[in-house]
Amino acid sequence: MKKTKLGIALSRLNPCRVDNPVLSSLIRALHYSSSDEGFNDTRTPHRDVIDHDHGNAHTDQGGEYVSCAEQKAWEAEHHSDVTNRSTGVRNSHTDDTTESDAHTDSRYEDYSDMTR
Amino acid sequence: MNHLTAITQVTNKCNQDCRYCYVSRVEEDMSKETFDILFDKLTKHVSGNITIVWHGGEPLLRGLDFFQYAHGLIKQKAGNRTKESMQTNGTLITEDVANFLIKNNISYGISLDGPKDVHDANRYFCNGKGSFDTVMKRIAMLKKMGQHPSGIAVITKNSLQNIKEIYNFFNSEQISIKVNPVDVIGRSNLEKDNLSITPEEYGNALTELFDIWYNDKSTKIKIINLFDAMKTVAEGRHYGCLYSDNACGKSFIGVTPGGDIYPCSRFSHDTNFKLGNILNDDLEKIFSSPICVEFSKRNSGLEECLGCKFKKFCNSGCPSRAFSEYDTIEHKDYYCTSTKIVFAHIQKVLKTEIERGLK
Repeated sequence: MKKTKLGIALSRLNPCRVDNPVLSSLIRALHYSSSDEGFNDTRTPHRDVIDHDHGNAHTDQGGEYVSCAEQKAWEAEHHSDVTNRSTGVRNSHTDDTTESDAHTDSRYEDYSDMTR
Repeated sequence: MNHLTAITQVTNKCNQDCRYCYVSRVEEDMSKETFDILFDKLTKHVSGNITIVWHGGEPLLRGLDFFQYAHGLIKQKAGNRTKESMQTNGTLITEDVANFLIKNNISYGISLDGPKDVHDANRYFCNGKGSFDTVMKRIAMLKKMGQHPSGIAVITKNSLQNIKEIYNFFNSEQISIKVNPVDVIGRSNLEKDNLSITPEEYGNALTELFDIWYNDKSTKIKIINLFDAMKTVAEGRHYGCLYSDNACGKSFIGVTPGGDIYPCSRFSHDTNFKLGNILNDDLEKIFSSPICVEFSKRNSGLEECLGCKFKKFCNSGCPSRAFSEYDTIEHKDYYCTSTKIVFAHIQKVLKTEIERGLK
């Protein structure tokens, strides 16, 4: 999944070290959307289908915010690459060749062009 | 066609008489035969996933028997590629209905505007009695059954001063919500002066709500459209049909109880937008109608939006919201300003977080 520069920078933050549950959840969501098809994301059963704004019949009802213990267990089971992205150390992961995450700008100062 | 969402109005009837409702008062039910033909044509025309959004009126007035029949048909013909959901006012969710929805994995959203005084000001039964107490009884029953319903809340002129109260209510009830402004469509025009809010007011209400929610370290809920806006800012892609360039008349249709097809159910009050009728017309013909061509033109980009940095985030917004205010779909969303306010605010908040996180 492509991200904006802002999204790439957010992905580098460790959700377990963020004390804001909304932000933590967003970072996790960004990790999920980066993961490959090996992850069976049951919350979005029809990934190619556009969500509609004619109601709020969401399937991710309840359990909106997961604990770090749950996050780590999920990472261990499902997606080791996410763990690499969650170290909280800037530029710590080595997979800089991926399309969604290949950036060289470590300062993230330019947010004017939000789409890559 | 790869995938399609059908907003399916199984009835125009409703046991409520909400002040801002835009659904026609003509009482009509969808017959099982009409749904048979609709779903048969959908399965032949759509190669990928089909989403049926049960809508109304109040869909549950059509009776559990109808949904049991329709679900059986869906399972038999295309169960592995069809998802059902329902938007309901919640007042008619009995234990039998709840068991049916849960057992068959049919997700649902409940229309609930906030605490009693806020909700009952606009959402009441046909006898004028507010529906809050009934809805909350149904939600309590659902919670006992292990459910965590989500809600959809409409912001009106009257509730602008109660944003904090509204948030506290939903958070205490642990009901995640999507927040909408009053859409002044069709007969809801009668209440426009009393209820509608300006784009600036809506944008400011959403940023106020965002700040309350975002800064609540013990929040138990998600504000779905604000969370989606955060994902949009981070991923550079839109969420939801409001901001899609591939929804109305392309991968979305609205179906009336009588089988009339519209680009979206929000146009079903205006026969000028009628694409055809499922009983008489094939979907190939319906999707090649001149009206669909007009929607495609809009999707390719409005000139007035070309210089906007949020163009890729919102694709000029909802055609229905443009039409309701400007009498043309060749115009950006009436709530464009509020969209910009929200995206800009979220960008600012997230940028601050990153700077803090990198220190």
